[in-house]
Amino acid sequence: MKAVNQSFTTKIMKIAGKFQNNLVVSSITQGMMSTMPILMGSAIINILINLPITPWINFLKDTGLMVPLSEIVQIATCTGLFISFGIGRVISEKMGAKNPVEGGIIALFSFLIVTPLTTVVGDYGNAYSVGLENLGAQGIITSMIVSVCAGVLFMKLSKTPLRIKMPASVPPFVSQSFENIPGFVITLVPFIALRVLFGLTPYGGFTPFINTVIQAPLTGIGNSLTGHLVLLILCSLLWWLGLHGSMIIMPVIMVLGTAPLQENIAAVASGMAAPNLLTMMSIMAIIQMVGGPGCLFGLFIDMAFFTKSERYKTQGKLQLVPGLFNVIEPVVYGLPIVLNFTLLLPFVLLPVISYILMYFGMKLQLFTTPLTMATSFIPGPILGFLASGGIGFGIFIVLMCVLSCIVYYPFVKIMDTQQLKLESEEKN
Amino acid sequence: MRKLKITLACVGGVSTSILCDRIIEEGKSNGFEVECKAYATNALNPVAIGSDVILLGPQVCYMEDEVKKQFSDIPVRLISMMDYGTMNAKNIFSKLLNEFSW
Repeated sequence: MKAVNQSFTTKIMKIAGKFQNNLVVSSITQGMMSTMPILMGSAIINILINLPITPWINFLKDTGLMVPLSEIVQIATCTGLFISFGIGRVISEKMGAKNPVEGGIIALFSFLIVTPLTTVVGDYGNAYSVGLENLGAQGIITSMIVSVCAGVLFMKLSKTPLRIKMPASVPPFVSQSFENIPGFVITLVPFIALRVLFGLTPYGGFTPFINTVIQAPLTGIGNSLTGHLVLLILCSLLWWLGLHGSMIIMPVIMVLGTAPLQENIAAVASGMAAPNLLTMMSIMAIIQMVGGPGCLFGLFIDMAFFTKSERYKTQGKLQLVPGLFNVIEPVVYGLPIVLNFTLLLPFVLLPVISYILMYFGMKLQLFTTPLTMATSFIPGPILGFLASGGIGFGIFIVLMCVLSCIVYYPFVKIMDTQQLKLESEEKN
Repeated sequence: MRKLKITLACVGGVSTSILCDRIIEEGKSNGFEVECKAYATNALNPVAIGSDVILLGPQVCYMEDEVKKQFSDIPVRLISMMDYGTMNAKNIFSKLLNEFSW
């Protein structure tokens, strides 16, 4: 049985590994992650300008800080713009570029090429403007497609003889930037074509086309309660098989959930309520804040304080500190949780239950949807209050931690009793 | 003190760096000066060159063949799930000592 399990899990791990390490998937994930500081930073500014403390808000308005700070939050919503550079840079680095920044720049430029521009003809010249929505939430999937294609095309071209060779006396700094110019220009051609062709369509451009045809339906399905529950179940199952579930579903969460999160941040910055209940952050909250994937907070507490067997008492104490900071690898591989049928049920179902409770809590307006997670290396009960979902959300996370302790208790007891029996048999 | 370079490959993170520290300690108590760092599997080149052994965490055990191909002159070994989960650097190091008789 064990041998069959081994080869089965190894096969699944190989497939998941291929998915995770796939050039496109990993470039998108890493490219997006590198721009996370912008999202997080702007979310923190957002919290600051929305604190329900009247003297503070009046202070901001009187000193003239309110307007620029709100504008910064709006500017930070141009995720499509930032990730185009990030993805382009990462993908060209992975393809062996000497100067990956070139890849980033060309991806950025290509993304802007397919972005609709509004021209206002004036008497003394034209004024051009770009709608922030096309650079932000509505442009995310376009940005991913364009930056991956631009990066790959540019790298492939840079390996062909199509280069401007400068004489050896020219400093490498200069000659390197000239070398790739033909590749650069040729890469732009397909995107110019896209701009022209889609500009003629009723969509008005490539970005609105992608947004309407692909992004909106995808995020609609992907951000439904069912869609998110499926992702949560998948995450737990993958961990249960010994794979890094969070890393594997991360690209999916980011692609689907960033746009609605973006809209939320923009809305709250303008003083309105967040329109989307379920976003990337709502999933992250349940996957991270209650003791990591599987809402293991309760497991850590129960194992450290309520076990009697030698093995689990020692292991419990060892796992507690990383666990309180939501690091779960020691317990997943050490308990193990992998292929552990006793813990399978709570590990998969607790996140689902927590998520449904969270959904109804938001529907009943007990708290608002979380907007930010400063870092996952803070114990859950504290982290919930830093999520800008109101004090209510903080209380909710604390309650989930308590629920986790209660739910995991009987399962921990079962394992502990079995282990005690083993240990007493060994002694005799 | 004999010098050793041990490279860990994982999905990277907090648990791996704790393990690295413990391996260095374990090495010291056995008379070795150990250089131990952890990297993501796709970032092993070129940092893993010159390692005495490359250790793979259980989450990336399926990459064993690929890593072996990439570093044909460096032994590649898997860390058992139990040793990894309990951060048992003692077990890991003694298994290595037994096999390689450094």
